[in-house]
Amino acid sequence: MSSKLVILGSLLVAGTVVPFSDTANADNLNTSGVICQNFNASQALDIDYFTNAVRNINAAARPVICSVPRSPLPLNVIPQYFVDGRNNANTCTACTVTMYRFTGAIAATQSFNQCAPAAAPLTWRRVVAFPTLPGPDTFEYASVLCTLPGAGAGLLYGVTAVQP
Amino acid sequence: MKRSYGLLAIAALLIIGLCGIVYRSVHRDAEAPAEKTSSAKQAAGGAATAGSAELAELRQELAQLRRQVWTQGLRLGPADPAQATSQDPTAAKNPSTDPEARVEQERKYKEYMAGVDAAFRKEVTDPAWSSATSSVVQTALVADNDLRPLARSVECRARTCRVEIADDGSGKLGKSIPMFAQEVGHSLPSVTADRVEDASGAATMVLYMTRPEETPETAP
Repeated sequence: MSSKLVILGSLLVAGTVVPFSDTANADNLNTSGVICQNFNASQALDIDYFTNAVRNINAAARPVICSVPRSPLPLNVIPQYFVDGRNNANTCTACTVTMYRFTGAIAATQSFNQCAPAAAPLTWRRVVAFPTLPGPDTFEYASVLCTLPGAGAGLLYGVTAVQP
Repeated sequence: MKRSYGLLAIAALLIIGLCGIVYRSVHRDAEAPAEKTSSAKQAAGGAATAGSAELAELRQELAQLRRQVWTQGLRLGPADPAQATSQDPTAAKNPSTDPEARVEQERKYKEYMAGVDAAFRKEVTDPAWSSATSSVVQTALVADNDLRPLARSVECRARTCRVEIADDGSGKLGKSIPMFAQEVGHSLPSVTADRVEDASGAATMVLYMTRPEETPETAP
């Protein structure tokens, strides 16, 4: 009798364990803005860093380019990113997230322009979502190009690749 | 008979308790399998102190089962995906390692882009928006020294502009297109791109630049 109970119990326990053992979770990939670099070679000395951000110390606006580490997404999951930054009053930061294929060909871009109000600085977070890509998302890379306002008036804190 | 009913009731309670333990232990993601085993052993020891030899035996079985499930999981998920494919021909092919799967993925991408193009062709032209947005796009193209000589055509309809830019193979488009997209991002924040080659091998980047859904029908 007791051996039957042991078998029954073991089967129930195994039935409970096996489905959970297959569960897999991915974590978002957060990348600091200090990974960003000057987009144009001649502007290298205009780009300055804090431990938590990148800024442009030239008087004119300057673009920076940042790698966005990511993992392939499951089928039909839209690529999504968060871009975090800060602007002094009355200044703007424009960013373009680019997804490109293993062939180097650009597949898609999403752009936004974030301004701080005239009276106060603004710390901001923007969500960037792409339309669904066809088939398995195996080869797509991502980068973000941000044009920072001059005189250190804008900071780029970092980018997050959402990994559901 | 009464004794067997009693045993059944005790066994049912034990199983429910064990399921709870299993559920909690499985959700401790950071815990190493070895730690899991030792905790199971600890659990078994606790059961022995409770005076139930049967419970201890059940828990030992549970620990063994969990070890087996974990080992099975390792066997089912080999590190080399190519090896996995060769072991199971019916498994989904991985485009990272399988050229055929890569070709299939390219085919799907072309299909997707054909759908994007068909959607653009179905748009009924909004003359006011089309004219104003074409002007914004043309201005941005002309302002870019690298793009100006490569721009082929701009056609805007109701919410999408189709822009053709010759790909001269110099790699400049990788620099110019994101800047161009940012330049017109106020009006057309979303871009889907396709690279097409004609019979002679000449390549063209075709950009489908779309305005946001919430933008009013008037020109920006």
